[in-house]
Amino acid sequence: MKVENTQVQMRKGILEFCILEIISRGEVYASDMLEELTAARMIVVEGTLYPLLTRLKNASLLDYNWVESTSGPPRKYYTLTETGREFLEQLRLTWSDLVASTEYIIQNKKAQQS
Amino acid sequence: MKKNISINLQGIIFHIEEDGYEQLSRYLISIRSYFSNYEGHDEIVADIEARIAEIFSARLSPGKQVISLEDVEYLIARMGSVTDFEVLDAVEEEGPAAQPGPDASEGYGGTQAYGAGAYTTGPRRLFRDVNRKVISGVASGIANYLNVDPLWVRLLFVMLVLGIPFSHGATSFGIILYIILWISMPANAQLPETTAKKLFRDPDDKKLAGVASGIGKYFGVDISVIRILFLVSIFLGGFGIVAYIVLWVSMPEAVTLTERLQMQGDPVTLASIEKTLKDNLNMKDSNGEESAFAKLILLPVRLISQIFNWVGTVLGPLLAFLITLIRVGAGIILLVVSIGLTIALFSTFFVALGLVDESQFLVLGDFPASVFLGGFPRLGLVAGFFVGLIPLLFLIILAVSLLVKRIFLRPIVGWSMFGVWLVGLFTLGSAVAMHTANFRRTGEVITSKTIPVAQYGTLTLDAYDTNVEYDNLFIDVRAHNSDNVEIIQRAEAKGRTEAEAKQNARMISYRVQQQDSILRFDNSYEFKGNAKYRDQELNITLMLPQDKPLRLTRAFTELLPGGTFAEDYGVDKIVRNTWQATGDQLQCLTCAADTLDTEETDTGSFTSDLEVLSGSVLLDEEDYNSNTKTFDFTDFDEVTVSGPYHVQLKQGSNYSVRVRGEASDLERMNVEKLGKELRIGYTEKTIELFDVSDPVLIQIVAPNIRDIDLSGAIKADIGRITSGDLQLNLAGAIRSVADLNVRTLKVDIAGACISKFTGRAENFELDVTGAGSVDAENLQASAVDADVTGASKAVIYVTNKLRAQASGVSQITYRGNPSDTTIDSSGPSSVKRR
Repeated sequence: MKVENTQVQMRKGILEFCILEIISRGEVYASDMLEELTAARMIVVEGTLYPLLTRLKNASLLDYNWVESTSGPPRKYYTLTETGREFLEQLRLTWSDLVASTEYIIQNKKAQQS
Repeated sequence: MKKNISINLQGIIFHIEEDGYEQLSRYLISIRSYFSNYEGHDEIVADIEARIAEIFSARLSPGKQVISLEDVEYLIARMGSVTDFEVLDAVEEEGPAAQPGPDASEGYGGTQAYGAGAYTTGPRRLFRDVNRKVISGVASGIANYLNVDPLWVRLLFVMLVLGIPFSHGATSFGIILYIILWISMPANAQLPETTAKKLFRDPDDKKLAGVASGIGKYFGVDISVIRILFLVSIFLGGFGIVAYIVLWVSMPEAVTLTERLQMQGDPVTLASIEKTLKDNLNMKDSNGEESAFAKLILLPVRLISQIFNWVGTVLGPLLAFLITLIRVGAGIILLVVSIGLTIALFSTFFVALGLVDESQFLVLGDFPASVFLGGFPRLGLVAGFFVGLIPLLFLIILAVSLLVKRIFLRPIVGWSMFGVWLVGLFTLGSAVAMHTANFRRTGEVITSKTIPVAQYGTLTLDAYDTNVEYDNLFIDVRAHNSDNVEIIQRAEAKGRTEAEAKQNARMISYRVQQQDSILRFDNSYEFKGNAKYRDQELNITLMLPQDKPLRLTRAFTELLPGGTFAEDYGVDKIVRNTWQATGDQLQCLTCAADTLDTEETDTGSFTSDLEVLSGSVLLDEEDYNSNTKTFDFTDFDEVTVSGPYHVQLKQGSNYSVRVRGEASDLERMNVEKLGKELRIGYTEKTIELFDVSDPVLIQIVAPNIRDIDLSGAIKADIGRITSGDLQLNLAGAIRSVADLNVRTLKVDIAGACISKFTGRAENFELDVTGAGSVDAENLQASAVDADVTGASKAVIYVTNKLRAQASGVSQITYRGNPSDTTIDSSGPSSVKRR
């Protein structure tokens, strides 16, 4: 049991949540998404994003449109599907629950210490 | 100085330094193989490549044109290496391992993370995909449901409609199926793009339209293989051409970059097989070298790839040439055919409109075009013209496109043409519907013509060939109680009203001509000028005096319907005998005395087998060269001729030997006399088989001829010869007619000779071998001794004594009534009397 594994696992579930959150704001280009995630230090290496996006898309949570680009290869702009929206809604609930629960436990610990 | 390599990342070109290239190449290979068992691995890798292109672009500037090793290392650090990804996966594998289930065994890293069906998207539904529709989106909807390229579904529909797999009925089935699906499937504009690979025509590497190249890219097969398959399939009943055209029409061209990306499949090249084998079998030993086992396994793959490379270099240019040849050839043929059809269409149109005068040369079906199309609504004619013209124009454009390798037809023009065609078809349909009103009523016109024939003893019925054949005209024969012949014509036609129908029926013109006792009937009716086709029909009844003797000509018998004769008589017999009308049949008056074919009615079967010479075998005298050479030979009674000559042999009071022909041919002739034998031959040893010069005619007259010997390729006309004994030897490919009056005739025939004998002979000895054909039906002989072997046929006429021996597959047919017969036939040979 390595600490990295647990960290990665924790981050990963949340990473998907974050990706869906970013996309929920409207059409997003993957590279813009990367910038935001990297800035938020949600991901370390960019390569991890793409398999995730593909998997979310294959699970019908995401959809994308090709947009021809003037400066490079055509770009994929991602949007949430209806399913993706419901999925994200549930994740939000879970997230606030989790935050509440975690906070609660951490608070308890602090209370005991003090 | 550093060497640069240019690479193409998702359609963008980068120049990269050699060490950087190697690093990047290794990195990409590692990524590719890492994700290779992920669902949608192509897409992941393509996304990553696109991102790499983006990162690289960002690092370039006007002052920095080349990607260096540092850039690659920066990139790898930013994207993360396979080890970084493995950490993620190692975590994932812990999850599902805890709850083993059917999903865990699927082995797709991608789906495992979510366990058993974490995403409940509900059952998939079948929608019409209106975003990517061609007609109504049925095909693309089905394709979306099945996650395949819509092209396949469309091709399936096209096949159902064209009915390639089934010959009949499938057309309507395909259309009905499509309409049912159109109605029953709800439309949906939200359907996602399928992730399936798509079939595009490849504009970059095309010979014709890029179909083969596109298919090659799709399946990751070498283009040459696809091209060879197309070429081979052309010879399977032209299937390849049809398939190519269907694919050409249905496969879109990859125009944008995206489409070019979608076009490419995972290449199944030999190199990739080798790599997969290596990767999956873990064939490297501890120090990174291939083990002996690996080498053994990979040997056939490498060997085949070597052979393919070699064959490719050798056959490549040849194949390219062959393809060009076929393309140009097909283009020319198509062009010629379609232009020819267009001209035919135009001339039909002009004749139909009456712009060009009646042309008997143009016949539609059985009727002259002007008659057939006359009275058809003008508008309908114009519509029909366009209905025919547009596909022809399309064919011409296609032909030109084939020739210049470029499609001229712009979609807007094509669709407009199609629209005009549809309008034309509709108009034509309405015109036909309107036109049918012209066929509503039936009218009949009966005319009768009486010809007095009392003063003639025997009537001869003959037919006149009008050289038109619209219809089978039959003449019904009846007897009646009168001295006159009556010809009743019943003409029938259709029209809008009965009066009009009658008027149309009067447009039929039919003639019977009388010339003393000969009545000559047209063998077909004709149309008067400006006649309109209204389903005209003509029936003729011929009323004949009850006991008038009749002779019928061969042509006339063709106008008689079946059942006119009480019995089945052969045509020859009908023509030979005299008849009389009784009731509605013809009765034979003289057949009882006709012994020729009383027993066998189907004598025709034999005579048609036998090659019969009629008339002279020689040309008309004036057709021979006028250059003549005369020889002063006398006192001979034997004639021997060999070579490719025409021979005319006659009996006369004195001797005469003349040859006619081109001087050069005459020079090569050798004419000499040895004892009592006149010998004519060829001086040169070699006979020129393909000599096309004028034939040489040899004319021989002699008072007494005992022996005739012909060999080679001779045509001989042996005029009437009266003699005590005559010996005739024919060998080779001789065609001869002989008119004889001899006491003892000996004929010896060998080879493929066709000979005809007429006259009379006391004793006739006939010996035929090989594939000879002897017609001695009109050579009356008292005693015949015939020996026929091989595949020969002989017809003889014997009155008294017959000894006939047939062997092999020979046939002897004899006529006459000999009292003394000895017949010997073996095997399938036969000796028959007739």
